Amino acid sequence: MALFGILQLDRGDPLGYAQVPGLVQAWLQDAGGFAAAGLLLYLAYALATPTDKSESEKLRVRVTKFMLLAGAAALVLYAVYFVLIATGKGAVPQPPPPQPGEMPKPVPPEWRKELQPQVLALAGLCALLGIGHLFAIDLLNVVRRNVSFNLSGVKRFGASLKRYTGELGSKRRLAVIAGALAAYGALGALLYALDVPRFTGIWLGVLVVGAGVALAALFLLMLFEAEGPVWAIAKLSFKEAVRSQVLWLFLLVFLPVLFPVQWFAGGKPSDEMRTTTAIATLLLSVLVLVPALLITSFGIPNDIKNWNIFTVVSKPVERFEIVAGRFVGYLALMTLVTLALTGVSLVFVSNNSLSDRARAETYTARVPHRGKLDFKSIVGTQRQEKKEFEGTNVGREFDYRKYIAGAGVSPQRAIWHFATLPGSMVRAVGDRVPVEFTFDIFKLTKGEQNKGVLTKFVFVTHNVPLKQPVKDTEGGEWRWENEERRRAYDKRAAELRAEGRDPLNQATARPGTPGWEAVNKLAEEFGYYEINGKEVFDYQVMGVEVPAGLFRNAQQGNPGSAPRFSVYVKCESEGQLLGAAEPDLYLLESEMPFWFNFLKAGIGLWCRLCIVVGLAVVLSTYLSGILVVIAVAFIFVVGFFTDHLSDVANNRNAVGGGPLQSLSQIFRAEQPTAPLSDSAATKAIQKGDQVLSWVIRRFQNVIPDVESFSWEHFVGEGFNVNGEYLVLNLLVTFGYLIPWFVFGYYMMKLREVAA
Amino acid sequence: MADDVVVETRSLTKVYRDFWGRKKKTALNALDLKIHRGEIFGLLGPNGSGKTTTIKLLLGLLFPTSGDAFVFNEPAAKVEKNERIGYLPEESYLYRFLNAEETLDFYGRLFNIDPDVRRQRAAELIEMVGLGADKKRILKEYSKGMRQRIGLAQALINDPELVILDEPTSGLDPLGTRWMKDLILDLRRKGKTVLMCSHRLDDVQDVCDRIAILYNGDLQTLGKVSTLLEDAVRLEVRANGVKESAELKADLEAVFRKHGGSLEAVGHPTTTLEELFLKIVEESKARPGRRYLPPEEAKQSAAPKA
Repeated sequence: MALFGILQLDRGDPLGYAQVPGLVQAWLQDAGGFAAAGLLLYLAYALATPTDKSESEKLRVRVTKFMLLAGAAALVLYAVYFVLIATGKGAVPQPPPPQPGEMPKPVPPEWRKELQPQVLALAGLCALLGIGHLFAIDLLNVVRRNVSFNLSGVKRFGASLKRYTGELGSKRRLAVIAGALAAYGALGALLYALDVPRFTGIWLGVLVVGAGVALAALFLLMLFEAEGPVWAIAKLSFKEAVRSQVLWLFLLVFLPVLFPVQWFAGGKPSDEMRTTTAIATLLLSVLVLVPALLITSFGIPNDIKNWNIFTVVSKPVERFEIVAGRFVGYLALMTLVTLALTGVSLVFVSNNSLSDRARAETYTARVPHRGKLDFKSIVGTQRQEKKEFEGTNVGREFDYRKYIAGAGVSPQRAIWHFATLPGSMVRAVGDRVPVEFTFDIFKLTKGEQNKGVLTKFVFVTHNVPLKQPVKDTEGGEWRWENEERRRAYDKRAAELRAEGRDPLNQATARPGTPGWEAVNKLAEEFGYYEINGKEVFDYQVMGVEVPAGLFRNAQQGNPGSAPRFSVYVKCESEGQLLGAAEPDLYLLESEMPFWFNFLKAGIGLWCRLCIVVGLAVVLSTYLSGILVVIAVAFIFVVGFFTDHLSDVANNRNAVGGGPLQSLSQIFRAEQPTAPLSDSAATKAIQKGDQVLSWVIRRFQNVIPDVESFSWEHFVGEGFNVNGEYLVLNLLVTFGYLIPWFVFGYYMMKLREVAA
Repeated sequence: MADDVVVETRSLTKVYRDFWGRKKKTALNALDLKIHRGEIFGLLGPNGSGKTTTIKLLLGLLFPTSGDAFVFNEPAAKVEKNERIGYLPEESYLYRFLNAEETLDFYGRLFNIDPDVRRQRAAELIEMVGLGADKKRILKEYSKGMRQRIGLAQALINDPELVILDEPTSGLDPLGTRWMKDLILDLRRKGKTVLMCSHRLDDVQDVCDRIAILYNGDLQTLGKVSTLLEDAVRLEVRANGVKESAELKADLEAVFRKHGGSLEAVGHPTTTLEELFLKIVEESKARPGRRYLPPEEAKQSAAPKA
């Protein structure tokens, strides 16, 4: 659980819908830059090719008026952009450089309204339209030839199915199938009789996965029966891969079943599921991506090498249909494989020998509702530092948490503010909303053995604003601004206490007891609830339940700019510090089944698969098979280090400067923190670093952020993978592959396949 | 371009260059050619003369360095023209993991042929090329001749108007060669145009109406086979039922001298090896178990036993 918080902060939150405009703008700028370079090269090549006496050449290196217009517009806009840079107008304000020791903060993409980024995006759009014009025309033709919205495909599939089953219906084949099914059935009966629920579960799960994959395969075959060369080539690629016997490799997925999870997992319950998921995900990724790369990389190059392509290109087939067909075929096959392997992995993970505690903690998919974390103490002017409290840094180098000091009169609070609340919490089942948290305890004194740190939680709505204490002498309490209202609350609480329904007593007022109804009423009326003396243990998932009445109160009135709901956490144990990061506390909106979450995480893997297959198919239009493997593997592996690449590309290193400066310091045996000399050589090195960072920024644009498709941490920690994240994954994959496919289109179009 | 011209090249030139754009070889130099509807046209030449390059340029597999090529009045780079073309490459470059049925189905789908028509045509072609018994075997298991046959079947799957055959008899035994030549002639009878290239001169002579001879990328000669092969100086006289003798020779010499010529040779004509081979195979089919015996053994076996 600890790692979860760290990773969240390290990379920032996963991309959501709010980032889509920013992503689109960045895509227009980056992809547009490459498009401009490509358009320039293509136009230069086309204009240098003599087409006046050759109709064939006119067709081959076609140039449309639209391309020329779009190219000219892009050129003008890029010129304007460079003028803006030179004059310093319309620039994006740069964040201050990080201080030594400060970690660079991830900046989520957003649509920039300054002139420079707007002009750059517009120029990119023009270049993309220019280079994409021929691609779009041919793509439309390909779609027209290969996509029809009628029942002919279904009819054809029906006829093919009849033919296949007719062929399958021979006595020998039927006997083999019946024999295999009977053997599997007998194995299931034996497992049931031996009463080994784990293996029976695996048996049943594999059966369900097998049936599911068989159905998916039928659907794909139906798709391949559609009219058009793309589907014919896709089916060919599918058969080619299947008949190459590579599918036997995937039996390796059964390997982990031989090893109990305890061999790999650490001592903590949460580690069990995390390790299991990590191993399953790693195995899945390797088993899916490596064969996909190998199969895909050699498809088109082997066609060209063995001259099979002569018999295809000499038919009425557009070159791009070959690329599209290969992509669809390989992707379809590997999607089936991914489905099967994900299903089998899920069966293993679900039937693993997890401890009960690990199962309770992580065999779920929590849907958290997160807030913004703020640290507060007495007002800044009264503090020794003369500035607002921002949480204490305890000196842990890789710790993203800040700490609050524990004491009975401590004014320090970790406060989570929630600007919005899900409507479901108002009508929560049992009139209770779980609040979960995992805190880090930093001990200044040994404390009591096997005892946690006492913590106070205060839950307030915007209707109950609290006053920040001004001086230490006030006793550290955060009081109600409306004291009269507080007195009314205390009076109502005292009445309840007299009735034996003390709202502060967890024994008499907990969900499911009659006291809980009164607590809810009180919370709904006043918008306040507190829990005192909650024992909190180091790095453990813990939770409290708060009355849903609070949320009904929070929905009343308009909070303006104030948060609708806040949670104040205070550490009460003397000599202890309570560490918290933003994701450490959340309202539990709902819980989803683990299996669904596991399957959803598979979409991330599928996006990676699309990238590998797409890249390999596109690069294979020009490179030989082995070079494709090396190039894609390189791009993909570098994709795991995009954060580092981004730091280097944007000169975000607080010490040591860029690569050339670092190199120079190594050769001169200088400390990275040593001040630089003012010599011409130093200036040249710094200029060189600027040029290099520009080059790396361009290189960075062709590298996919592979890590952003990984959801194993969410699954392993028991958190729901939000559908929004997955939609963004798909969008990013699509956006990444489009320019590559345009590149592949031109490569294939301009290539002499028989040369 | 006249309506009956199916293929036309205008100063078609192809220069192969290396990665840096330096000239490696001029494979074809300013070729001007017209092939008419319904004729069998042969491209002849030694290895490296530019025959296959011409075909690849016509199919759009290569791009011309200069000049142009048209098929059915369409530029060679236009994909749609391939709807009416059937192409058999020099080697049968088919997918070896497919069987004969799957192969024809795949190529039929590239033409978007209706599934029922495709299936029926595939079955007919498989029977026509004599692979009915082997249609479920993958092509990897086929002999070279069998692959050439299925290659021809794929070239005909779209019932093309123009059939381009690159070394069609390559890898075929004499029976297969004869079958292929008969088939080419049959295509002409059906009104198809055939462009074939070969360096087996007898094949070309047997079936082609017109030929072009290329050497080192240059067109050396072009015309009707009968015209090009005609020897206008010599005269051939054939007779039946006459025995060769000195008297006959003397009489013939007298006749030819009277007409201002001279007798060159008198003798029995020989058949071709192909004819002999085919005759023996036909006889063997008719009389199973027949085998060759040396003359002595044949005499002994024919003599009555004591």
